[in-house]
Amino acid sequence: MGLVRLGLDEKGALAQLRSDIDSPSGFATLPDGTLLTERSGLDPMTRGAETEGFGLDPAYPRAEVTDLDPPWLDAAPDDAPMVYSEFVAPWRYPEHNMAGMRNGWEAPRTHVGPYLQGDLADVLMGGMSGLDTARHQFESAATPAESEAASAELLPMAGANLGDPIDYGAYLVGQLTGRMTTDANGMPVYAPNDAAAPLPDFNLDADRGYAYQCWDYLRHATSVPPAGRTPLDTDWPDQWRCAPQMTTFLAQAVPTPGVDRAARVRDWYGYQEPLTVPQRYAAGDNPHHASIYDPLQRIAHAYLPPTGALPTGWDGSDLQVTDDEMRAARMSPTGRRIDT
Amino acid sequence: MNPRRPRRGDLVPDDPSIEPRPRPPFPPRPIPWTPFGPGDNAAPDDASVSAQAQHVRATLEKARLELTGRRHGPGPDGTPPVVRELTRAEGLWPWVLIRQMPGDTGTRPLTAAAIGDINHGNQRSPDILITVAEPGGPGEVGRSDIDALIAKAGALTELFTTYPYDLWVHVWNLGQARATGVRVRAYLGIPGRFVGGRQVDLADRDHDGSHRVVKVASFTPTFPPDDAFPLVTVVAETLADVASGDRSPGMDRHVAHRGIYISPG
Repeated sequence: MGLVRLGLDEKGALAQLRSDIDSPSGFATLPDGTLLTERSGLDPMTRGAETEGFGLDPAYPRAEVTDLDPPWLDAAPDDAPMVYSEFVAPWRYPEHNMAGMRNGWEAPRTHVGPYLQGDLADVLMGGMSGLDTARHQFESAATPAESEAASAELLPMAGANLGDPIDYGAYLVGQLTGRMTTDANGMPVYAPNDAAAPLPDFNLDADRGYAYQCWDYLRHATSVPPAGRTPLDTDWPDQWRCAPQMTTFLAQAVPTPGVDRAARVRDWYGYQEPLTVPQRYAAGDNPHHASIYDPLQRIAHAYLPPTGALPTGWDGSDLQVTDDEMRAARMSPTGRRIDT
Repeated sequence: MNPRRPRRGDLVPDDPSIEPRPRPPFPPRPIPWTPFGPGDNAAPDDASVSAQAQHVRATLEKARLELTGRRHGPGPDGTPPVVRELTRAEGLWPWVLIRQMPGDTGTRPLTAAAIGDINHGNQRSPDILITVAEPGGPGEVGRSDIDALIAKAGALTELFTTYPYDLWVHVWNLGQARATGVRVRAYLGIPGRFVGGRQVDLADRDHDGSHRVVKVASFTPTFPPDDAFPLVTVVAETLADVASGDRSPGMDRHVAHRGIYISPG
């Protein structure tokens, strides 16, 4: 049951088995408080009413689990690079990495969703119908902060959410279908039901938070100095242009006269550097700046405009994680415990 | 003067004087020795076989020492890691069980007092349930329906030789490996008359399907001529965890007993 019940960790099945053995019937009924030891989902008693709709894990979203390379060997040298390690022991997520270090979080905090600790997986299939007013409120959010405000207001109320995938899918079909009509010139045109207020593109994997729309980092604009001082400025003029380090020795072994591989990778796969680079950003992607991830800075991000363009502009607000945020998460983004 | 004999350089590929020459046979190759193979025509060298076994054992022990050290660190005062023998429950093996009492985790043999209670019908395995036969009913009962099944079984105080009954068995796997193809067999009386059997698969102890209640047999009891209080004996075993064959009470965790009372119908 550990994989299909929210909040039941890998030891839950064994605790249930121990009680079953002691029971004359062979099937004991344990209180949820004994079984549900993993901090996942909303508190089933309060639905997060005391914490503005935040989940039982107040430090969501958690940072990626990383360890010294290789993560499965405790003899890794101290100066070894950090690599992903969650796959070594996934059941340790999100509390600790393989070395036993407490795992931090990625600012800003987000809401985890309307699902309660103890919910079974079948709640995703027709168990939560959602509410139209809640859907409209989430749809009208223009920034991540507005989505978070809507979650804080709605999630503590039972049923006030987008709905489960089946119900929301049915709502979506209803909104995207429409009828044939005629335009001003009398030509037949198709008018979807959401023509007046087009639906936003929700970020369906919700990799930052609940009801998030498709988003991107706020990025540095192109910056080309008027006269380059170094050969790098000539070869790679844009100071904020990044390119993934994907040229392997095999590619270098194949002669391609007249082709600058680095320039080609930059043109094909280049990207503008985010204002706040995320965890595991490779500093070598931009030789002009060796930017590193700062967990004490909030990720500067915004929803993608409906036009499909990249979000632009930064309002200059302070991105530093505040003491209040750390106290609410009960730890700093680096994982240091903070007593409230 | 005789004409010069043609030499190899004078010949062209289609020259008829080039004849196919038979290939000489390969010399016989020695057949390598393999156990019971075609080359195994001599008595094995005991010394080399023993040396090979010793080498394998030493390699395994070295690996076990190293792995133990990686997991638990060195022994006290820098001594080599202390290797502890794993029990069957700790290793990756099935641990098939039918409980003789609540809380039974398979420790055997049971105490003499418990065995006496079994023989006198005072100790009934909670994992053996008998209900009035329900043809077409479910073959397995889960967590949500177990109370109804126990109520049906509890209503039966004696069996009659004119009615058919269902025999249910709760089979457990407390091991860390799943138990595939567990054969559950039920017997009535001693020596037992086979009344039915079934094969089930059980998950390992960390998963929900590690114990199941299944219908093993539907049978009509016969009145034993020499025993009005016969035992129902149930045996569960799999290839990776076989029963000992001893069906006496309290000797084998694969076996459980339940005393019943049979009346002529």
